Order: sequence, then structure tokens, then C-alpha cells
Amino acid sequence: MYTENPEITPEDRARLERSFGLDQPVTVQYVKWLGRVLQGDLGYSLIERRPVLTIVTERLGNTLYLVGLSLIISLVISSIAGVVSAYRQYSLLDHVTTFLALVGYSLPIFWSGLVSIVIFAVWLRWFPAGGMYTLGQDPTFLDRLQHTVLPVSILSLFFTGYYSRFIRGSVLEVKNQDYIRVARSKGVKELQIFIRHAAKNAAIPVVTLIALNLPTMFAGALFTETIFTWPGMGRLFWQAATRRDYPILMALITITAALVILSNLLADILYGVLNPQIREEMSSTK
Amino acid sequence: MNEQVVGQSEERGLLKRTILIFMRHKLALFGMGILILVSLSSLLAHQIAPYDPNRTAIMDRLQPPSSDHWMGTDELGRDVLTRILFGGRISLAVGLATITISIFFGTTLGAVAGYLGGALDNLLMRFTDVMISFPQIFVLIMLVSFLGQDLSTIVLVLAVVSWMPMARLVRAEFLNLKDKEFIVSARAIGLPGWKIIVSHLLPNSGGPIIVAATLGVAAAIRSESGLSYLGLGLQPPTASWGTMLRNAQDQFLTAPWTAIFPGLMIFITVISINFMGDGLRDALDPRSSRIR
Repeated sequence: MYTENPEITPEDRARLERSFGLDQPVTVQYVKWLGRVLQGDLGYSLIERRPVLTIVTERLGNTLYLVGLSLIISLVISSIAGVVSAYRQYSLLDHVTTFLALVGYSLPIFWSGLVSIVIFAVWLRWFPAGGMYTLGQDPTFLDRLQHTVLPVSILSLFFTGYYSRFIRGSVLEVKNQDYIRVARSKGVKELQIFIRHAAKNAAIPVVTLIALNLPTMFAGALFTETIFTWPGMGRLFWQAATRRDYPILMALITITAALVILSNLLADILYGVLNPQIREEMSSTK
Repeated sequence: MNEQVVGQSEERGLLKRTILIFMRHKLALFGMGILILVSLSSLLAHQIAPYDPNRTAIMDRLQPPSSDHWMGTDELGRDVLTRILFGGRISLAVGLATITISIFFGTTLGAVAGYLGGALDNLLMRFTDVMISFPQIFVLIMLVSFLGQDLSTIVLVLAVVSWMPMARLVRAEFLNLKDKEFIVSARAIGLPGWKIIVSHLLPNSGGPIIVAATLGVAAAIRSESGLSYLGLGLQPPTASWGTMLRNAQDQFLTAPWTAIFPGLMIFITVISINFMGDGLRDALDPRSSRIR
């Protein structure tokens, strides 16, 4: 911005560059930035002139709310759909559910979001077109709820499409295993088998997948937040990228990287906790 | 000589079987049909488009669909249908180009890792794992912010996030095939590694590669559309379906057709390719005995 001022003298430019540390080689700048980050200083936004940390923490909760709610809803629906599909394989129900799942997964979020706004906010006027609450008013619970319905529905649609296929596959694999067959031949009822054995075993890869997918789900939220002008981290990332606000970009990428590492770690731990075989292997190799 | 004849008739039988299974997949056929329709209309855009895609007519801006403009006009008075046809060229071309690069890079990496094994395999796979861990969108946005937004950069950036499934698949297939008799005997006669890879291992891995490539095109089209929608992909006046959506963003509340049609095209194309991919997966799977 300063560089667009034609009256700025070369000396001023040089002075500004020095004060921002821009005259040093990129690697030195990076190391210095890294050092600051390790001390908790994420820098200042170029556009908003506020500390990056403040901006990020404001938005973090909103994204967690959006993604968390969508994830819970979609897991409930996909579990039911996936299990039912697996137990009624090749039936009409199975085909319909699989088809719907594929549709949900193939729908570009930015388009389904737009269409849902057109239908539900413009034509039917059931829900507002965006934001987390109506500006200028004190946010009531009902108001927030109204604003939440559309974004969460669209995001859940996508998650459901994705997870129901996976859950179906996992349950299918488990229910044809030998140990399940033994239980069946012993005369145990199918429902009992499911509750006591199949469900837990089928859940293991699913839980691991969810843990591994945590960073990607935040990315999915990016489109949803942009369309519905939801003040979350995904939208922040997009705004920063469009405006080339590098401090924010760097901070968000760092957070994402940390999230990736943590979620992979979580997935590994969960897999070990849930699958006793792995625990056996781990302890026997010591 | 006898072996060659047997081999050939087996090959022909395999192709026939693949086609038969694919044909039974109604959705896959439907998807293929739609895809052919979309591809043809984009290829023939110059011939069949009613207007010039860049012809602006401010007097006619934001007209709803009518007999003159089947899909209405956009904010600059350009015919939406025409732009859809020409946009298809860009979107499809980007998808295909991206996947070509991904296949090339991913297959090479997977082949090397799978065939040579050992520490190199470990190293390459760890690298692949790292690349997969990152959420695509973030990587795409970051790379675009730093590298710019012209067409070839976008294609390269898209390829950077798309090659990993290919590498994993190819490596898995190679590991599977490495111990089979025909490979072991090829090594025994002293065939050089690269020849084994190119003439024997790769052709037999063809199935999963084709499926992954097909699904990859769909993913690439989605990613490019998403990026362009965010304004971080192709720039105007380049018309892809994604950029059309972006331009529609400002007025979709009053002129929804400007947003509905481009998005619809993206959706139809992506889902058709996905249907086809599912069908191909069943058709090319040597273990699928169920011809349904």
C-alpha cells in the first residue's frame, strides 16, 4: 500500500523495508518468523492491523461449531444408512442409498450452497441467506438456530455422502468374517451379533478415518463458510489468500500443519486403543 | 508360438468380459452417455454455440432464460449457454491435463517404489503420506497465492495435489504382482528391470490405474471449479464453469440462472464421471465374478 504512493522517496522505502525486515534474504526472514511463532507471537495482519492470534481465536470457535455440528449429524445419518445398506445388500434400499450417497458426495458444495440459498432463503424465505446471526440485533437462540440450519445441512450432506459409503463397506467386511459366522451358527440372533461384535469392529476403521480426515473437514468448511458468509477460519483463510495477507496465511498453514500432525497421532492412538491386536503386537515386540 | 495364440485369445476374452460387465452397469452407461454428450458439445462449441462467448450486450444483461437465450444472459449480457459450451472446453481440458501429469508422476513414483522396494520404497511412501495428509484446498490456495494464477500454473498446482492416490495404487499393484510366476520368470531370463516394469508390470496394473485416472478427472474438475469460484483459479475473461459461478456470485439472488447452470454442468459432469468410474472399477476387477 505504501509502495503505491508515488511521492514516497527511495530512502523512505528502504527505511520501511528495513523496519519490516524485508531487506533480508527469505530464509532469514522465515527463521525469524519461526522463532517468533515458537514464542507465541504470530504477527500482525497486514490488512486489519490487528494481532493474528486475536483474529484467529475469534474465528476458531465458529468453525468448530459448524464442522462439529455437521459431523455429528452426518455420522448419525451415515451410520444408520451404512449399516442398513450393508445388511440389505443389493436390495432396492441399498441401491437408492448408495446412489444418494454418491450424489451428496459429488455435489460441489459451493453450488449446492448457492442453490439452497436461492430456494430456501430467496424463494421460500424460510432461512436467512448467510451469517451467523442477524446484525444489529442481540442474537437470540432462535435467530442463531435459523442461521445455522442451511450451512450445517449443506456441509452434512457432503459428509454423509462420503462417510456412508465407507461405513457400508466397513460393515460389509466385518459381517462376513469367520468369527461372526461362528456366532451365527451358534444360533445367536443377528441383532445381538451386531451390537456385541460387528458394530465395534466395523467402527474401528471409521473412527480412524474420521480422525485422519479432521484437517480436510476444516477445508470443506472453507467453501461453506465462504458461501454463507460464516465468520470462521476457512473464510479467513480465503480472505487472507485473496488479499495476500501473508502473516495470516502463514499462521493458518502452521495451525493446519499442527492439526494434521495431531490428527494423525490421534488416529494412530485410537487405532491402538480400539484394536487389541495392535496392542498385543506393540507389547510383544518390546 | 502356441503361448502367443493362447495369450491373445485370453486377452480378447478379457476385453469382452470387461465390456460385458460394464454394460450391465446401467448407471455407468448413463454416466458415459452424459459424458460423451458434454464432451462433444464442448468440442463442437465453435460450431453449435448460438453466440460469441465474449460478446457483451449491456442492454440485454441479466435476462432470464428465453427463446433467444436458452440459459439467459449474465451480468455483461453474454449468452450463458454459449459460455457454458466454451467453459466446458476449459474445464474438461484442465481436468484432462491435470490427470495426465498426475498419472505420469504418480505412476513413475509408485512403480519405482514398488519394484525396487527397500529403503527407497520407504522414503517415497513417507513422502507420499506427507503430501496426502495436507488438506487439498489449503495446499491449492497456498500454492496459487505464491505462484500465480495463469492456466499452466493452475494445472501444475492441481496435479501436485492429485498424484498421490495413483502412486499408492501402482505401488500396491506392483507389490502384488512382483511375486507372481510370470514376473519371477521374466527376471530369471534376465530381462532388465525397466523392461519388466514397462512391458509386464504396468500393463497388468492397468485396471486400477484407469479407474483412478477416471475418478481423478472428476476430482480435478471439481478442484479447478472450486478454486476459480474462490477467485483463486482462472481469471476472467477465461470462462470455465468455476469462473462463471464466481461472476454469478454478486447477482445470484436476483438472477439465479447465472449460477444454477454452470454449477449444474459441474455437478452433472462430475457425477457422470464418478458413475463411469464405479462401473469401470467393477468391470476391471479380476475378482468380480458377479455379472449383474
